[in-house]
Amino acid sequence: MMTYEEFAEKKMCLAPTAEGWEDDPVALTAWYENWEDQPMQTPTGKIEIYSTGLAEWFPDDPTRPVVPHWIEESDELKERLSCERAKDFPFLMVTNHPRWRVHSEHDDVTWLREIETCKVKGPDGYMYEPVWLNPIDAGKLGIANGDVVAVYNERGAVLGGCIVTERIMPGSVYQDHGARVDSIVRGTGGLDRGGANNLICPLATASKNTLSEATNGFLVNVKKVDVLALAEQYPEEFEREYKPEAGLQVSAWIVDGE
Amino acid sequence: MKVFVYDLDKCNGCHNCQIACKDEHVDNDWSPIAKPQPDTGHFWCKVDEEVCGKTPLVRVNYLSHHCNHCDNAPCVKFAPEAIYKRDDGLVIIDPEAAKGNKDILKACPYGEIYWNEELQTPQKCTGCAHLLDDGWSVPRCVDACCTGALRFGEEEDFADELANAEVLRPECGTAPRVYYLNKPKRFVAATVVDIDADEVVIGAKATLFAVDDEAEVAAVQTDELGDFFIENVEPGTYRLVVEKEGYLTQSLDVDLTVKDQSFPEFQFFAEPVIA
Repeated sequence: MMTYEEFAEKKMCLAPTAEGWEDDPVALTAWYENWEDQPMQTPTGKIEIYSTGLAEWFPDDPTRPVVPHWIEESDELKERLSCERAKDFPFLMVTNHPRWRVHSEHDDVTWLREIETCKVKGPDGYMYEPVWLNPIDAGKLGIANGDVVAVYNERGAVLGGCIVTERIMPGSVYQDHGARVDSIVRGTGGLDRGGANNLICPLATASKNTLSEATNGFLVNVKKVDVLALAEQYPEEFEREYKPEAGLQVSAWIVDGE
Repeated sequence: MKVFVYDLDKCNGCHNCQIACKDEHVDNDWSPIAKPQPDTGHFWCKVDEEVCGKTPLVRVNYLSHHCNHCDNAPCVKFAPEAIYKRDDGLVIIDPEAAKGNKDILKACPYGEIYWNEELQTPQKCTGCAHLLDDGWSVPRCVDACCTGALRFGEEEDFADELANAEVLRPECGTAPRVYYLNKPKRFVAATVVDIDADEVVIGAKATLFAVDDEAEVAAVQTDELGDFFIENVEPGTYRLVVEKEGYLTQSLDVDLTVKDQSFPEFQFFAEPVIA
């Protein structure tokens, strides 16, 4: 394509699309036509929809079945609107990879935080992590755009600043994951001001025999909170060193500051 | 003379232009073109987000905007001793000559001028004139646009496209040099539902008529989800007619003067069968 000297000079190299790519066979065609000579690393050498390995070693795992299929709930994971728990926690929480961060990285970048949809300013001047609610749900809960809300379940609660929007359907709540932790009450059943909703997501993995997170959708309830009353109740936690444009300062977490 | 030509069909709202602008101007002194921009609070280039319609028939519009570098600039008229137009069309605030004159902010009908509290001077987009003078062909915002929505160049090179372009708030009469292509107008959208059968209706014909002269504005069919979108309609009042063989024709007045309209459950009824 180009020499290294040319690459060093231009600092980029666009790999050209292959000539005649339209005539390329679909992916895995060569394997499909002669799979015996180039087997997969599965016990059968084929792409397995029925997993022979699971059938041999974990034939009775109810949440990692031999043939993959939808499982509404299990003994460990009850996070669907159809579950009994939904009576107390009637919203399905969606926690996407954040739009204005990479997980919790860049949550302190001033130029990103001042983008209108990045944070919601509370009455205490704190920049809360947005929580999206449909206008129908917001109306039922008596929540207005800009209110500080608690998103909670039996595992704990996180605060957020409400954005009432048509971009989320009724029955669902949306808050990005990765906002930096700013705990008011620590531990199970705690309260986090930063909106780090990983603190209230399910602990169980998809199966007791494997590690696979099932944390992007889970049951919660939402309520409006009086953040000024909370500040009176927890003065120490609300007085950590903080700059609205950058968030909680590192010194807040260091003994004796600085 | 230079123009900015922004194709909103290609904008995905990434905000690269807004961030690239800050990267160029925050903490950097480009005197005599511009003094440093404060870290936060100024948006010499800004992306606006607008959510239209109702769940689930929603569209999100983005609009990247900055100083329009108007040919008939009210700011130049207001403070000719401090603000000037260059031969390439860019409007520049001289940071020294404008010092202390906060009233300049009020001269801009677009609100694109910001006050630098620390330096006590008004500031705005310079079109990265300092870079253009240094051989750059485009400003940083345009350079950072990864979809090709933002372009910058000689007016005559864009002549064909400018014929269909719009400027923001033309009623201000300032002759902006920032042009927009494919600026969204209004839409009306619906999901057509056969209430008795509890099913969406596929292939129903939706026609929009203007109320004043009854002219047909657009006709579309519902897709495999029973949805239709009629987009880019001029603001106004319309009559929507939805029809399909075997169903009772439904019609509805639709007011698109101030906002878009979505009907997430447009009720449709099968023709009664006469036994």
